Amino acid sequence: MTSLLEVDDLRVTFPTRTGVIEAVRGVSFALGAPPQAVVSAKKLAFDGIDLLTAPATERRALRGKRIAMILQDAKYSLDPVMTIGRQIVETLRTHEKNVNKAEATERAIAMLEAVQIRDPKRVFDLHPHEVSGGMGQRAMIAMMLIAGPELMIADEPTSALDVTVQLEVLSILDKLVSERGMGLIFISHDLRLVSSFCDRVIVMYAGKVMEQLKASELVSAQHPYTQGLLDCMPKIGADRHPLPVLSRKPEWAA
Amino acid sequence: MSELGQTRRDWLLSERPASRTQARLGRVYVAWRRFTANRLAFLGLLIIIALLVVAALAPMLAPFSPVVGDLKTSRLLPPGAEHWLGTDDLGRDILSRLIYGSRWTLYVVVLVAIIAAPIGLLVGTVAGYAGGWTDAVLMRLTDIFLAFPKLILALAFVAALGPGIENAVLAIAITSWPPYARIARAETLTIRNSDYIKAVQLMGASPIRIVLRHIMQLCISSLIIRVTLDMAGIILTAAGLGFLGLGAQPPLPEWGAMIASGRRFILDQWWVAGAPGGAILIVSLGFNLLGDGLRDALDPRSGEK
Amino acid sequence: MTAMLSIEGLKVIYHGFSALKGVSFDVEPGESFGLVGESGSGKTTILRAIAGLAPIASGTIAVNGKRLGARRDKAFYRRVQMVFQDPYGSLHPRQTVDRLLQEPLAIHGLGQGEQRIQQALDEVGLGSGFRFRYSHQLSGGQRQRVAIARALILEPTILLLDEPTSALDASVQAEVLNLLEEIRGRRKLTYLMVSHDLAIITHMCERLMVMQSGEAVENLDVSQLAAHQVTRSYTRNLLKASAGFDRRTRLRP
Repeated sequence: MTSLLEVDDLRVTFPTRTGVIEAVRGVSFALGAPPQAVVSAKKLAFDGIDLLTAPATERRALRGKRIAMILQDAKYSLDPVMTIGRQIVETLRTHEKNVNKAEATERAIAMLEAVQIRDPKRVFDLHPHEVSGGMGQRAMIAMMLIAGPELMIADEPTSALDVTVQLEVLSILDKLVSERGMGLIFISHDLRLVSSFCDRVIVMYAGKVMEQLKASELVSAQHPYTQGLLDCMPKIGADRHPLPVLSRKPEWAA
Repeated sequence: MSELGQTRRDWLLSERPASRTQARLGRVYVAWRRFTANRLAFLGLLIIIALLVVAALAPMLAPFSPVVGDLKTSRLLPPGAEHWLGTDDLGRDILSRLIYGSRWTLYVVVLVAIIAAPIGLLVGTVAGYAGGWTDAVLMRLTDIFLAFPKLILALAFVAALGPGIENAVLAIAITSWPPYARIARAETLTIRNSDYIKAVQLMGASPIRIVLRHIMQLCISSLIIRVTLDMAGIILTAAGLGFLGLGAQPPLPEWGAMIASGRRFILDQWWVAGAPGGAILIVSLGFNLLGDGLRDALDPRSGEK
Repeated sequence: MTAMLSIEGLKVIYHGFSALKGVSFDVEPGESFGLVGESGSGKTTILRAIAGLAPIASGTIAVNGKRLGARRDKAFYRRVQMVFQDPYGSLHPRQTVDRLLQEPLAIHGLGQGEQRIQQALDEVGLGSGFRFRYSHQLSGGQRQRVAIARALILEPTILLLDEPTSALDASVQAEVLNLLEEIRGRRKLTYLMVSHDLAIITHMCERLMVMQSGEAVENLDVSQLAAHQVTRSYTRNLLKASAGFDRRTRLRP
């Protein structure tokens, strides 16, 4: 099977006033079509595939159409002066030029319905500030899905949401992955969520991959960093005072 | 860089300063580095420093007297070896007048800044922090001042107070604080609801203390930037008043007044008005470049990265 | 025994919006009491109302049996202090740690500044190396430690904690929670802690109140919660949600 996405020795550096920051230092992984892979990290900036050599126009055509990204907070990533509907229609018509307005509107409303917005016609005409955080995040997902991407990158898509809403959004994503066969990269710092939601997990620290494993095996992780992260979270019913703390070993970052 | 310079740089950029002074100097140093990275801003600073030096050393630099000229032999001479920038209709050396005039330019600019900026800062922060009636009253007052064209209002004040450079300064100061008040108020409104101000309220700090010690500190940098950018406008307003005969009175070598008197010969003896015009242009440009540089160096929003 | 903090029928109305609709509870001296709920449930509003930062429409708040008036006096702020949620927003961007800690001492006219600041920094596990740093030179966890030091420097008896770790990474969260527990034990403080995370509340508190849209849903002992002995469906949902995602329980279409 060929992979949908291949990342080989990715390095991302940012030059800053105080020196060069190496955000990603040689990360490699592959993502097949059906199963989900996960990049769990505290900080991650990346732009992968063979995109490195692709010209800007080609990359732009790829973005939104084949690769879509959900950002952390819909409040800041939706355009505040455009209705939600118009933003979705715009995305669609950018990538599928032959779609006329009526059809685009119809598909946008259908997509809003697909992300379980109860009254899609009303939401279509609302501005981002008129909807709740969960609703905004769903609208964002709808916008990202409208062009039918094969790969979705979700950067902490639920961390700005309440726990119950969080689960609803996750179940929408889960459904889309299993029904459409879309690949999903789910970036999160919440190990509890990752272990219950994803198939495979890459644990990152200081720009490097600590380990790669199946999500179901996360509890029995080998790397002390992963163990430490799992261990230091308070759990309901566990009486551990004080909580074990993670001592960061310098060799992890080496 | 020498070894000593290197250690001094490390000391300034230290992430763990050991004293209040080191922390403060480190901050200044970072701002300075950001400022000097901008070449044009540095040029602006050089122009302003040159202005300061010229003003301070005017008697030494000026080749002739700024007020006494030789009416018999040296009226309206073009620029040449003896009079680099020529002479005016009273036979006075224009270069010398420009050099002495820099003192008056600085005098106007500094006095206006000293009077207008604090008034604006105080009005704006108090209005922004207090809100309600205080805000409404102070801001409507500001609106009234803003509604008049600056030069016209200054004209009215000078007409009431009598012509003269001190009154011109006062008039310009009175007309230039409202924009500062607006900036300070806008800034205060965003700061006032932040958690760090809430935290100080929770310490039991009085409103006066919060405004003076916590809010003003954050408004000052954007105000400095704005005042610097306004310097050019202040110089021009002062020159405008001088030009209309309501600012500096003869024989004071104020640049605006010099243009006014050179106006009559502008077609035949262009240097009489052109030289002070060029001086105003260069100094205004200097302040503008400096202000732009300061914006990059001091902007609180870019400053925390 | 009089309650350390007693809240009776507290209502808060912001511009016509009822953020709190009559909430009552008591916190005993030395107790750690948790407030749990989702955003908009009014849990943070309670802390703000106690601190005098929210407009109280009706109801009473009493500290150690003494009813609070409309205005908080200086003595109040020496008894009650607060730690804010966002360590990036709660420290003045242009002040050093030293200046931040000096401020409360100056306001209350307390002497021995040097000694108190040193002691406060030591107590939160920041050495003197941090004293002259600006907040942008600190990590999130270090900032929150500074915020805690600032709250402690006035030697309060009640600490209001508004999601003190929600902006921090899991490993740093554990460190800060441990620090808060340690301080409570040492200083015999009373905590009123707000969180959306049931696990944190069960870890830190003895009793808790679940809130939803400005009202109390139920009061529980932590042991009851740990044993899943909850009576209301809302609480049960929260408990279920905090266990993580479950692919089998697909939510209704």
